[in-house]
Amino acid sequence: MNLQIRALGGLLPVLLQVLEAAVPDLDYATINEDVLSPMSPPGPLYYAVLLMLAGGIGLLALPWMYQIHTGMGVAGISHPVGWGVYIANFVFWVGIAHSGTLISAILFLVRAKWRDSVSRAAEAMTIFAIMTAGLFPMVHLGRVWVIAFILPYPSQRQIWPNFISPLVWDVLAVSTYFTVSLIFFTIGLIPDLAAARDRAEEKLGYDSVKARIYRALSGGWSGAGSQWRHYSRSYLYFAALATPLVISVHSVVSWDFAMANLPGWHTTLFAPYFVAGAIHSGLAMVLVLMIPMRKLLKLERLVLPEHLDAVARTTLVTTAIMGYSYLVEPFTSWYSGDKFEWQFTIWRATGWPSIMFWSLFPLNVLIPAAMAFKKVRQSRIALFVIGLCVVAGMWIERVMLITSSTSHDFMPHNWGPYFPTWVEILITLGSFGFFLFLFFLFSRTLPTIPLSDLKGQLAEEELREAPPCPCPEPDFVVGAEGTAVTAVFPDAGTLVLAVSALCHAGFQRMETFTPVKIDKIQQIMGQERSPVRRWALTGAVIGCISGFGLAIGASGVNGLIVGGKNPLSIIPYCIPAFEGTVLLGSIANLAAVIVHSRLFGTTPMPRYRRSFSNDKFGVVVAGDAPEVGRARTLLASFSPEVLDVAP
Amino acid sequence: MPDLSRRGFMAVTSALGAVVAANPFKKYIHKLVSYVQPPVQTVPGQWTPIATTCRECPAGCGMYQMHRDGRVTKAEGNPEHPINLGGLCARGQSSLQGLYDPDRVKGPLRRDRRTGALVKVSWDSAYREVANQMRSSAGRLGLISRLETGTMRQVMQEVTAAFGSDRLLLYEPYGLEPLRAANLALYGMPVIPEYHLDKSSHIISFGADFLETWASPVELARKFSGMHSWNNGKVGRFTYVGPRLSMTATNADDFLLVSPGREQWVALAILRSMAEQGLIRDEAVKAMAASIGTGDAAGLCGVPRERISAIARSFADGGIALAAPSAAVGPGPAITAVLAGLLNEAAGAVGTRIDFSRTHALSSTATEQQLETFLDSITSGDAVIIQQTNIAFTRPSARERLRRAALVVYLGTLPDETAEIADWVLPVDSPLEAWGDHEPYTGVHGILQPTMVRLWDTRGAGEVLMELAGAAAGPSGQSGGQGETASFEQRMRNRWSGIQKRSAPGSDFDGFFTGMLRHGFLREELPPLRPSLRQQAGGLLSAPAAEGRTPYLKLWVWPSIMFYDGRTANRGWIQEAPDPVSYASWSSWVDLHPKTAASLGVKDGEVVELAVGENRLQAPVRISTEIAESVAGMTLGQGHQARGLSVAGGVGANPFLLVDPKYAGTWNFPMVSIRATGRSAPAVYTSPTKDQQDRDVLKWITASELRQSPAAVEEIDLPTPEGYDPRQNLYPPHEHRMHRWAMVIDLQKCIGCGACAVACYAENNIPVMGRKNLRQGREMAWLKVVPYLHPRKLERIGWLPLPCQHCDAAPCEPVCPVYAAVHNEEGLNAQIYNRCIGTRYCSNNCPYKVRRFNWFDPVWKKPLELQLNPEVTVRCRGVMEKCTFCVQRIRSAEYTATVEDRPVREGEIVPACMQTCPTGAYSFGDLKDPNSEVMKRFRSDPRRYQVLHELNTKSAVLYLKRIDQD
Repeated sequence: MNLQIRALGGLLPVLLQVLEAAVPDLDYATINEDVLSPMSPPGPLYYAVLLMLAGGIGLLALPWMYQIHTGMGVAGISHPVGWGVYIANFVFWVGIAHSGTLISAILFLVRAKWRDSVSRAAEAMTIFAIMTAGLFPMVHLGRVWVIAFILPYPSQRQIWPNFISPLVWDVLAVSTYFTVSLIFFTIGLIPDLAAARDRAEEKLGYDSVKARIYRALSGGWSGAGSQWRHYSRSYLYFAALATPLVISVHSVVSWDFAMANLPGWHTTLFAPYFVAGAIHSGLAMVLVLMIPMRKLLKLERLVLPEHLDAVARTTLVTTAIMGYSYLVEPFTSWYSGDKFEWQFTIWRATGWPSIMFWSLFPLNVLIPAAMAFKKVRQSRIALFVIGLCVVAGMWIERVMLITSSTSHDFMPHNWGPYFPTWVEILITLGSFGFFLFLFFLFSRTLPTIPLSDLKGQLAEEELREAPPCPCPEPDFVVGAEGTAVTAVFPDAGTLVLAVSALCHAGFQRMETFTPVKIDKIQQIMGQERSPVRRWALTGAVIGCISGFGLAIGASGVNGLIVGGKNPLSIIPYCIPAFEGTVLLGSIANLAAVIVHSRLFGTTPMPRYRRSFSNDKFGVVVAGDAPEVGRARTLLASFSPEVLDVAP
Repeated sequence: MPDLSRRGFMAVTSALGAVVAANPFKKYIHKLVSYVQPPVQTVPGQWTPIATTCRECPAGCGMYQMHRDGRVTKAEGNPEHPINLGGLCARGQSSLQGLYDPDRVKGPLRRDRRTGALVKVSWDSAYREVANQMRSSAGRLGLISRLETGTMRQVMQEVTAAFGSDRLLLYEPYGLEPLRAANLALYGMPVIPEYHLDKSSHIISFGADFLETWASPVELARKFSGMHSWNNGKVGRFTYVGPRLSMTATNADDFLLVSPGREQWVALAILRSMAEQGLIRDEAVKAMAASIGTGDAAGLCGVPRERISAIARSFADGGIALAAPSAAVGPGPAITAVLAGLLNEAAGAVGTRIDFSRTHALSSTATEQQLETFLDSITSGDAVIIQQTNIAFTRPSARERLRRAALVVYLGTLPDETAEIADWVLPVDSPLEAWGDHEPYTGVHGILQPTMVRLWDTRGAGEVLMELAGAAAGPSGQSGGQGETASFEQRMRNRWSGIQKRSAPGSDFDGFFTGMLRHGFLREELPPLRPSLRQQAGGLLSAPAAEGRTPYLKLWVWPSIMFYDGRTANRGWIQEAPDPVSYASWSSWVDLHPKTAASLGVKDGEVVELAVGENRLQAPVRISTEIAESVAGMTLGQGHQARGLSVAGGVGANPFLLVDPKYAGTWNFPMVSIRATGRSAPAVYTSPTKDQQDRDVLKWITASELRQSPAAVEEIDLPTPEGYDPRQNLYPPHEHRMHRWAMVIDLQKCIGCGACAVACYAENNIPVMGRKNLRQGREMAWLKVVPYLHPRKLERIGWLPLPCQHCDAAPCEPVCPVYAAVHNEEGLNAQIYNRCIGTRYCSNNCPYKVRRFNWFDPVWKKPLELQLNPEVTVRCRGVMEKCTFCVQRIRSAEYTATVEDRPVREGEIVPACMQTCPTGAYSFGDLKDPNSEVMKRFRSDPRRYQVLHELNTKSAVLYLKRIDQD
């Protein structure tokens, strides 16, 4: 754990160095158009590729069905190598899933702007990678048809899962990670979906299928100040909750191995080693996916070489950690003086896993270390190739870690080799098909770049100093009834000044509509705080208590002794408690943003205009006729593009 | 729908159920219907032990077949039987798979002259036609049978006589002819005496693998263990002289690796050394020792003089020498046997430790010369009956000579090689279905009785012979013949009434016979017999045979402990059971010394072709220092080619082809030519190495060390609350309710025979996985008897019987996500099959790797499924399984104790492995009972240790170190 914190501590300064990566030099409408235009109907080539990838899913499904029907013996796993390529794939895909939330959450917290160009794709990658990863424990199970036994739910069997088992931690960690990542992804999508909705309504008509779909998905998002207020706070909390989760997930996955007593597995190094490895492979996968994607989807103006450079630099950090781990692992083995460990280490470097072992150094350390050179970082082809090397290298590392320890454990007569069969190879290939299928589907159906965040960077530059509001209780809410004046501005700066002025003039009821979140408005209006935090805290506390409660209660019901441990063993129950904290905290946070930002509707708020999701900033002041007249006069002084008074 | 009452619902469903159950389209032979009138002994749902005698080899061990609801499921050694005292070998355990062999001939078959195929006939027509053909054949009748004693031998003699012939030949491939020849030379008695190894303090074996296949292996293993185990500071010594490290040899304290044929020089050197050191009391023997042979025996044998003289000193006091390898024939082994006989005389063993009053039944089998004469004299008019011996396999040259006969009738159970040359195949009962008796030693009578109803349309072999004789006696005699033939059992009773008159005169015969059926045996007391030594035994030694040069090698063949002469090869358990030393399954292989292999340029696993004359075979090479240089070693029993044998067919190669005296001549060791094929196809080994890699999993202790410090030296962690140590345990101790079961395994007693592992298959419904899966390490054995090399002496192997250790802090349990692996209240590490989802984490985390995953659904080809133990679940694919300490036996004993309102007695629970162990290496009991045998051992045995103790698993299986005699 200590090492983990130190590793993260080493990561941060480098991230901060690359904070000031370039911002795309574009206007709001161009960003909007660039991001949303790939969502227009694709050509036949796209469908052909999609169909091919769907065939890849068949590659996964058919051998799996054969394996379920015949038995696990069709795979190459055996005695003693009970875990093979399937578990390696699981670990690999969970690792791939790490970069998404890392980029979205951690880089959000440290305010690394370059994240905005790549975060959406990385998040989508995360979701799909977890889905792919989640398949493998099922593919791996001897009796997948009774998989429900591993889930904690009340049943007449009166027996609960074993919360001491690292595999149950796995289930909890991965499912929590999936849920939280999915929520995080969805929340981030909402403003962009609103933009997609408005564009579809404009171009294809209000009743077009696409418009209906995006309308439903965007939940009536209007970019209103009263929505942004809760939304931005909750996004921060999501990020805060997701950050320890990112670190924990692969730590928990590593404990599948570290908790076992096998030479080569039973080491405290594993958690930081796995997390670093996961991020290493995840970032490499971002490179592998983003470089072709920005070309194919014509996103070159948004995803700049500087952004890829930033990803590359971050990968350098994980490269260093991997190199360190690779060296310290044999060292600790030697230093421990443990016969089993040291014999194992020597055998791994000289026996049949040696081909895997020695390939790790070039693939995961030496080749990515080339990114220390600026020339390499600027070459898209080089980055792509390095990304591929790292992805392959990390997969090989997983296979090596898992199969070598099992094949060479304590008693020499039990040793045995491992080689995957065609079933395992096809299912592995199929998993790539499954992942890429989902990613391809995503690339043409959802905004692949967080356009609202990108626009937010433009808006930030436009902001000017404005005094905060002196009045005690201003109110964002403006209803459909009564008269109101709407002013539309082309930039965020004027809007902020206008709002400040309105506030100082004593206007109490007004609403802003912006395509991006502008924290300044909340600052001016003294609305920085949001009740969302209370929701999140309550959810987290309940989650923590119920995590402990579930584990303790279940052990009380089971009353079973395993491994000489008490039925009640508190230390391992910290894992369910932690997962419960994050899960329920996130769900409560989601509920809060839905309730407070009123995301349960399908139509935007009254007096909303479609351009508000694109490139216009509006403020609406409601009240009786004289008040509206005063406001109109005041707003006119800011020379808005449109100034409307509606009854 | 009208209101349906509960009663009505039950009526409707039960009626529907009845219809479904009575599905008229399925025809089961073996109906699961309870008896209307059950047989007297059988109680539905309960075990009935039926006493019978094992006929898997001539040793004649007594066994109980555990009968339940109309079928037998398990063979157990008869604990009272004088031969085996409860032990049983792997072959005896597999007798059930012989009974339920799916390939068995299920009805009489006649060979169609035109097509050459066997066609089904009825017994009536078979009797009639065979009898007609026999009567009309111009020549005489010949009857070749496996070794039979008692009633069956009488019947065979009468039947041959009824056809006017005296040509009855009892044929066993391992008749120990050299030993009989030696005893003929020494005493004028061509017999195999009874060896009281337990009374000896030093055994020397000249190539006699008496723990495996030699005469009476279970008996000898038991007696050997008696003298070779640790008894208050005393332990017997065992010297083995031979060309290969056999399983028997690995148990030796001194192993003298000599090339085949040189054993005689070692024997002579020891004898001379005894004479020189004045250790021979008998003057006649002393004189003979001085006069025998010429030349420098000590120099020729290649063993240092000091070693010889040390052996001689130790041997002089209480020694027994055994000689003659099981498969050897010819003068060389006979000379060694003569010298061994003189050694016995020199040590004063004859009459004290070697009993000539009881001779082994093998003494009455045909000699090599009798067999050859018999086969050579078969003419085209003859009729030959072959009774339960696969002579076409063990004596390939017999094939064409037998085919000369006009009529070959095979009485056997399997469609084997002999069935393939027979004109008629008349299927006989399995020994478990038939009446009979067997007298393995003079005066030791064993009973065979049907343990269940016949599976197929078969008849008892004696019954068939009597029917044939009756039918041949003509139409007039036919009815009378039939009346007579129905009564083989009656004939047997008649014979036993004779025995009764001798041994228990005056008692009621019915009561006597019922008692015999219950106990299974009778041992008559015999007057002692001290044969007198003939004086002309000297001058026997000849010059040693010239050393062979490549490409010619000496061929050394030995009978496999699993296959014997191949008769058990069609049994999955036996094929799956590893050869103890090489640890190969489903394979044949050729052992070569590294130097020999290097000079031939063959690699490990490379297939080579061995040839003697026109006969050749191919098998992969196993390079090993376990065999002498310039010798090719092969095991007998594999290489069946009969198409009807679905298990053994096509597995391995048959070295009988090379050693058949017809081809190889009267051999010491035939010279074979060897040719590399360049093809690599290694044998299947289920253990990749015997090297301990400095890990000390199998520990040795020297005898002197043990004598000096009789206190326990190894730290152990008791698997009870007592074993709690706050310095190394994070969690508090837990109490066990009522019992804490534990096992102690004495590694000094384990000889490596693997009977326990096969017993475990039989008891626990363990599926046979086959060659391909075994190659991937997917055998399902819950118990493996693992060979490990001595850390320094590479010729010494110890065996580590490895069942589940039932650890108190079991690493497998906490990692299971679904509580399929849990600790039960009696300390057992329980595996809940229907809870298991198959993550295999428990297996990964088990440092002993004793857990087995079901890679496929198990398959039992009908009717093998009848053998399944009804008290043990058959596991489906995808679940983990493992040793349970035979929890069904524990529960059964606890249940009996509860019914009888008493605590479970010490020794009442006997797991299957322990039950069958010929040497008593296992003990089992309750650690909560402070006076139990296991608790005493756990607490204070000086040899105690736990395997992988450093992992703090607190295993409940305690091992006692193997003793290294320095």
